[in-house]
Amino acid sequence: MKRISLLVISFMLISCLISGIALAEKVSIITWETATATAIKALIPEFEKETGINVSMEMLPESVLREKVVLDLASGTGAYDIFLVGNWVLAEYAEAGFLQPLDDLIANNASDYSSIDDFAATYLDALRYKGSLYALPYYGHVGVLMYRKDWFEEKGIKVPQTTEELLETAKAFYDPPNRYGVAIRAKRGEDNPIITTSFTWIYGGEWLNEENYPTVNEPEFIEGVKYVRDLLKYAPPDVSRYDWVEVENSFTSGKVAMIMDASDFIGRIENPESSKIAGKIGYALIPEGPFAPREERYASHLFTAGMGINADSSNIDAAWKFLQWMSSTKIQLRTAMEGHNTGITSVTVLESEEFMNAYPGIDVMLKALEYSNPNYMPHISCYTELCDIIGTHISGVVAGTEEPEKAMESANTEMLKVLEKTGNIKK
Amino acid sequence: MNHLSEKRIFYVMFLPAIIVLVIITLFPFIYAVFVSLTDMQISRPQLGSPFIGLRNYLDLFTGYRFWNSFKVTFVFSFFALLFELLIGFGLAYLLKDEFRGRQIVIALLIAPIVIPPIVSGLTWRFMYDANIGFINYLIGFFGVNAQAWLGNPSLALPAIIITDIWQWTPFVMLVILSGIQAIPIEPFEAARIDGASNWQILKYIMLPMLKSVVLVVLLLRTIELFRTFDTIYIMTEGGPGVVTEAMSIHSYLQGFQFFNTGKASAFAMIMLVTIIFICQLYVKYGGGNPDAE
Repeated sequence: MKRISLLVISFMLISCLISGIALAEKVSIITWETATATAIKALIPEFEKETGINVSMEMLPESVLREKVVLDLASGTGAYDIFLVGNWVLAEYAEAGFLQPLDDLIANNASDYSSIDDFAATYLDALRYKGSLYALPYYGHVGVLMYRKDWFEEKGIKVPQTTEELLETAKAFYDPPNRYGVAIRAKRGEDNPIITTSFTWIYGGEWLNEENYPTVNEPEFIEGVKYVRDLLKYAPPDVSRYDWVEVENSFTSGKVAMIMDASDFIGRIENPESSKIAGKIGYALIPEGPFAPREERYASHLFTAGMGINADSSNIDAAWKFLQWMSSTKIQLRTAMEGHNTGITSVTVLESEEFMNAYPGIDVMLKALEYSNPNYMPHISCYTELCDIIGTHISGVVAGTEEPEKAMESANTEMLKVLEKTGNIKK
Repeated sequence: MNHLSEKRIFYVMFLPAIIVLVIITLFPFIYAVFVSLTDMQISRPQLGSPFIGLRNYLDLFTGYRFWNSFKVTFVFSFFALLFELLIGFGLAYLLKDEFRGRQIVIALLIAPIVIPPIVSGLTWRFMYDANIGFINYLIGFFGVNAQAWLGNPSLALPAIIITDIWQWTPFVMLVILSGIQAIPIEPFEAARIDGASNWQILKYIMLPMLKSVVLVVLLLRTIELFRTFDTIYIMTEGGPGVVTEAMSIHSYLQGFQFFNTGKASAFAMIMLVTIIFICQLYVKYGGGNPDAE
């Protein structure tokens, strides 16, 4: 009897040990549901075979991911070892201590997969907060002007180089209800500032000053807002509800002459299966504003999604290994070709012959990336709410329900309250 | 078995259900009240969650966006409810008597209720599209210009109201119809014998006897309209500007986009109190005991 119970106990202990070992090398990751993610998911078995680390990948639509991630992070359960963090909300997560700083890991724990020197510098900068790097860029885009080459040729119009010319060009193509001159995001809330405040920026406007006080009621910013309103007079009538999806659709359905949005559109709009206008598109840098030349102030429309490691993760080493693998040059090259993915962050891939030959406009995208500034909007823990305030007021101005001066004055006051409440300025 | 131990058994069997109820509803509610008095911001744990008393409530009551959301919710709920009641009652009245194909008509009319609000909202959003939408195509036949329905600040809220009316009028109709069918036949027969007209029957017999049914529908629909989120969010996300930003949308933004947890809890409390107040009004002025008449 005693011997049997001894056997049973030792069996239980051994199985605990074994399962303990098996549990230790498991990484869970949560990210957006995109072509890139799907492409990577398909390649995961290769990684698992090479390293013996078990990876489980969960994908969610963009709109719900952040909610789920923050709730998990705030409750400290460590359910996800790796998660997607947009560069503009990175400050919020970093301040809260949700993210594991990566500089140490890069210096002392780089694996064979590491491609740290290959990431575009602008994207890396965008994922730094107070000097530390918190995520590796997994996806990135900058703003480019995409236009109907055929329409421009037909009318003999040249590609606009300044915001003045842009306005004139948009007017020249404005022929409702068949054709509209231009379309950019103007939907209320957080969606539009990435582009609308690119415009206010090239007009010399800033969100905040050095002491984090809001400055959106200053003349330069308001000039920029007025420009956006005037420009969008030549846009489809419902432009004030346009998110990037509607901008892309208005272009590919052949309604609009020019759009300014993310460089990762290229992969989709040049795909004849999903775009009526593939092959008829020209690419150029977004026109420069009156405040400074393009090299100094470019309408950046910059965004990069980084993959960060949960500070509460119990598998930091394994997670770090996977992170390096999934953002490595090799993997990026494969997803670029297989997934119509032009949101690549690896310089090698971006400048490769294959990539440049597969998609037009890459040279423009690279130039835009060079000129882009990752600080045209502030890296701050209350970014989301500030963005919503600015975006909603600008959307109101475009829709005609608000006057620019009053709108931005209200925005400024509201921003001040938020900044105080979140401890970003002393009351 | 004596009376006392029977009672004990009764309580003991009841206990698990009570415990679950307390954990799932009472405890979170009390916690939410508590959180509404703090400045909890779950994505900014570094700020702590200092107790700030009624500051969240004060901030809300002095914010224009809060009152705007109040207004939007009321306008939306009022007009949706008004039309749903009128049309719903009208349909129920038409369908109360048997006719050929009645069951089929009822079945078809009920269809909108079973569609998830998100799906309905998304479909209507495409129908309202300024360029490729079905609605603009239809009104084109009547010589009306294409409208930017969801992009026009004056048309966005009416458009959403129409969507809600389409989806929920059948529900109102269904409840009122069953109410009509539950009325005993004798008063009607008596009235007919006395020579009452259809209109008199409707006004003096049917409507009074439907009072409690209408009250139920009113309560249910009001509560649901107040909380409507899916449809509005998927169609306009509260825009253009803030013209369709209902209370549900704004509190969602506060709680799950900006993570101002304390403020969002305060918002939820305000919504709760408002809704209880409205329901009490209904019961007081609209209800009463039909048997007492």
